Amino acid sequence: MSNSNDYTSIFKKTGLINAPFGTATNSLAALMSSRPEVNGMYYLRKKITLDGYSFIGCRFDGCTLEISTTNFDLINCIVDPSTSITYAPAVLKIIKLFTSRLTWAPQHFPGFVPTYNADGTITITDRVA
Amino acid sequence: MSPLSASAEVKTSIQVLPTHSQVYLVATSIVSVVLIICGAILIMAEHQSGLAFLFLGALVIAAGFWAWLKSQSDTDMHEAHATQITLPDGTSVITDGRTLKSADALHGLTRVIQEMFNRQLLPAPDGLVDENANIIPDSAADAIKLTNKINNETQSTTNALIDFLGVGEVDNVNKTNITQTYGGLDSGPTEDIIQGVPNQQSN
Repeated sequence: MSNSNDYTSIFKKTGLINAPFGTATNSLAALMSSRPEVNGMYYLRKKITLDGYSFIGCRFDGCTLEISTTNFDLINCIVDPSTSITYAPAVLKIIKLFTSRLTWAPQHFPGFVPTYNADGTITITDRVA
Repeated sequence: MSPLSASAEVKTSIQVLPTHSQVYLVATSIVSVVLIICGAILIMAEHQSGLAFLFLGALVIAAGFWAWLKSQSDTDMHEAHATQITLPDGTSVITDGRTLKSADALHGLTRVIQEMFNRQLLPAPDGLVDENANIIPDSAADAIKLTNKINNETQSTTNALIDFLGVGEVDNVNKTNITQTYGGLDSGPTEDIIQGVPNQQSN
């Protein structure tokens, strides 16, 4: 997993992985660097938070998938049409930026588009007014 | 008030004491100064052994300086204020600044912390699927057993990370701050968003 290599190199570079308490730290770094893998699970009408997991070959029927960050993997998974996906503000901002240039998006994806201002600018923010 | 009765008393107590990493530095400095003085006296007395004292003194200075360089940053932060890391979703972690010595470490730890604190335990699955995504009959018990194993390992990892970081406080009040839902029975498939092509337009 690429994240594993990233974190391991970071901890090596910063000396954390070679700290005096040695083995325990190495184990900890390895644990921290791996995203838990969920293989071949079937979920029916369940509420699942994707963040922090790698779902591999899983199937979601009628579920609610929650996403707060981009720290997840869906690899060879089936997400059926009846499954809804709930986006947290941080993820929603990325989607809004993507749809900002799609003229048909406001009609078809209300709530997933930026605020179009009268002067032609757009606003994408999670700041509380 | 009579001038005779006027009195002023000022007591000043000044203590110059080495603290934290300075203790080692001062100790090695004193030892090296003593060695160098002894060496100088011996050389002045035309004893060649004085050179050995001078060499030893220089060695102690070098060793002390090297050790001080390696340790002073942590030792001097003995009473450092806690460092607070706030993630975009509002999750905040308060930890000791000594953990974070470089931009790379800060970046890596922020990512790990973000991942860790947004991770929820998995719900009980309803079974297992084969390679073709077909549901394997009577596999719910095995699936639950596997999920319990993942949840236990995840919990252990989280606990270990919290201990390692010395996290003093975790505030994750914004976990439910989720604003928009798409997909499900009332909407089109989610893949439409990714592809940027709404299924309604295909009609």
